[in-house]
Amino acid sequence: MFLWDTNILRHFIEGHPTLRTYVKRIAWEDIALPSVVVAEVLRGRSEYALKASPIQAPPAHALLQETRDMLHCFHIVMFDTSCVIPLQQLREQHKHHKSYADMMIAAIAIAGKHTVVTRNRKHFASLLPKTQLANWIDLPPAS
Amino acid sequence: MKYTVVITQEQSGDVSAAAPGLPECHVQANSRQEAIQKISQSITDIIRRSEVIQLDIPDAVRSQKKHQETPWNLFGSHPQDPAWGGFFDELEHHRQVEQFEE
Repeated sequence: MFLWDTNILRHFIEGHPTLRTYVKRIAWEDIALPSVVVAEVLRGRSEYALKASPIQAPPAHALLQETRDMLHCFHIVMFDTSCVIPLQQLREQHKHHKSYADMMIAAIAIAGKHTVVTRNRKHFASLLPKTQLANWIDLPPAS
Repeated sequence: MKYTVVITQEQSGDVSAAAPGLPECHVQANSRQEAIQKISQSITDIIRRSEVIQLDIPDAVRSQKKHQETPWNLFGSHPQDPAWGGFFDELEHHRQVEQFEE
């Protein structure tokens, strides 16, 4: 399974041409969002909706609904009990030098032998082996 | 059992009555009283001919079908949209500054 980081989700809705090439070659059922990304996105939209001024509230809540509908189109790979030990090990190794969300995504990938697709490879370089990292934005697929 | 009925005074002078949720139940009459009688009879007829059952459709069937095809309608749906671009910038920033709290 290819796990999309948040930045790949962004490029998907922005219509990045290189990403399109990859997605056309891969079955949609082999692409998923880690539950960490879903949580991040929903939290961001929810906070905006809850803190919006009266004038901004209607579009903020509409965006929350649009975001929820969009996420509904994706498979989601959950952070389940199999991810706990990998995450604890990553925390031991990296202490506070890495983003906790990055480590959670990496733990999901380790537990399920998934590949993380991200534009921020440097954030994951010390968390995952190269074979479990991909950049579908800056590195065009081999023809 | 009580049924909600919508009674409408038409421009033509007729009175129509309909029972929302029962598509066949729509009548026209010359007066409000007649409309109520007719719609009452119509609802009674429908109820006599109908039964209500519940079917259990597994969610898994729906979700499997939903995830089979790439949602190309989403691809490029928000190019250069500040409502999304700025939002993703914030998420990225938030992730890098957020640490696990013991």
